[in-house]
Amino acid sequence: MSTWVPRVTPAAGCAGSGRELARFGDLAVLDAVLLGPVGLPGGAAPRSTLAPSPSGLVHRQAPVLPVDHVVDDLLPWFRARGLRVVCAVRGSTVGAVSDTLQRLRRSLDFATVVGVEIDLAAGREETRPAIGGLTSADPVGSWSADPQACLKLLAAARERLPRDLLLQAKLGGECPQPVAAARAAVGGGARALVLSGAVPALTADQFLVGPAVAPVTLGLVTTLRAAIAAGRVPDVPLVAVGGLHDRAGALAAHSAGAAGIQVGSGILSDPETLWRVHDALADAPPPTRDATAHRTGATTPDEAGDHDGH
Amino acid sequence: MSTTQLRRREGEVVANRPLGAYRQLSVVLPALGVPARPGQFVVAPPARADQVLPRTWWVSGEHTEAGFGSTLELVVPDTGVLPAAGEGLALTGPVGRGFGLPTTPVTAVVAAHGVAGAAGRWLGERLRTAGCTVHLVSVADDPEQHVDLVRARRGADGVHLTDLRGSEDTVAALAGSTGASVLYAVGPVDLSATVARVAAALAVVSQVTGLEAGASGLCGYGLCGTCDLPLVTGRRRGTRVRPCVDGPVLRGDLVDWAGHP
Repeated sequence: MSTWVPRVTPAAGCAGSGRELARFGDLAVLDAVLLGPVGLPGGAAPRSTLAPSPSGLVHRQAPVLPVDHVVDDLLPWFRARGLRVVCAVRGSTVGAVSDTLQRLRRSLDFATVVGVEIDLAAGREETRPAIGGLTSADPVGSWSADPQACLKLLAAARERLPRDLLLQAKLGGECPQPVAAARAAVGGGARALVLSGAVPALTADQFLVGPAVAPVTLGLVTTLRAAIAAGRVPDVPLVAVGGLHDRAGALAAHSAGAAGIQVGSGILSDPETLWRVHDALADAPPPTRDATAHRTGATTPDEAGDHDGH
Repeated sequence: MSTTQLRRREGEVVANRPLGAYRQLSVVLPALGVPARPGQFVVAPPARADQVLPRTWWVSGEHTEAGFGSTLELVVPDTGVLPAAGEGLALTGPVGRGFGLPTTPVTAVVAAHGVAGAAGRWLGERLRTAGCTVHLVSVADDPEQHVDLVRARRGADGVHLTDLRGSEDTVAALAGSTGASVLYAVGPVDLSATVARVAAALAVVSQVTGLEAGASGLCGYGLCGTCDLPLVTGRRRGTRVRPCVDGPVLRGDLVDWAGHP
């Protein structure tokens, strides 16, 4: 039995607080709405910016939705409407992520949360002891750049959450070794992988997204699917995000082996894209060709070499 | 939350004519449920396939005729990729909250920047119809960028031209000398910040737009969050308002304009 993942959700940072998206269509037809990024409120939140580039957008990471706001205002709104929510959580330290999860977990409306996504593309801070017994936090690249850090973070997150709750890890174009990071994330307790085609641009906190990165997304899905077939990463469903703006793009990702799709900049272009992609995937045959081939590979190790090769 | 669903609707461009440095589009849509107001904007799909973000334009006039539909007047920058008369154009909107009109006839100052001057002019005409005395301040960095001053002069008690740097002095002097009791601003957030500050100094009401339709890097649907502005008051620190959804017209005294010159 494979893990359930929502087929189509908005990508983190593209659904506002959910209410904005509800103006464009019925959220109840979606498997889940992705809410986020959720995190601890801190300091002066940088403004998110979008700069158009040919066939894409360069965006600065969206400021986090403060977890208090999510718990007090947003989750009750979703629960009152019977909607399912996947919370995307972002934090720069293990403590920040566990704290956020703890507060979500204690919410009276936690029943509406059907999954949690941990953002491994976010910047990580390492706490080092300094002179005088004080500690200092230094930024040390993204989580996904260090598989060991991914494992620790996901293990801490898994500990905070009910066993049956979907925990997915998001990593992408910023990751130097996606297979190693994915293996570590799954080892830590992730039950699904979200593969994002967003690639770093201009500065550390800026990413290129949009149709321009669709090939990066498909490449990551193909790479991970091959790694799963070869047994280098445990069998988990993959979710593709990045540049999937239309039916054709979504179906391409689906046939490459993605069980779910997240629509990001496509929503900004036209919010109804979300429902169009949803309809496209609803019509698509559930088991993908590669996934079926992979299952055969898993049961008969002799065939693993074939999948490794392609 | 708004219960009405926003749908992109197919319209037809019935006119596309030059208006100074800009183009004026008349678009016929199926009849609007509620009349459009100055300060609202429309969202149009991206012009070219290699663009992701949609285009946002101020609505600068609306006329509904029973059995025919609603004609929206849009004054837009001349980008060279606008639909010609007779072609179709899909539009979402008019969206957002428009300017509120005073309940009693008062003196008002309307400041508008560049292409938003057409929306400012429409607001001025509405105010005049309501019996107000209206002074327009047209702000533009290039003299060519003022919108249709002849018609603006016809529809207002006075028209003053300035640039963004001089806008604070002009608006302050005008509001002081005319005893204006309400200040309006349409256009970039910097102009809104300026007008809100002038209004605060004079202790009068201000209604300003919290986003600039037509600015790049804006989705217009309320999803991207690039237009978020911090509020002065709120239940918690860090309460923000999203002008695409809650505005674009905001009360100037409620927004924390600290980050804007």
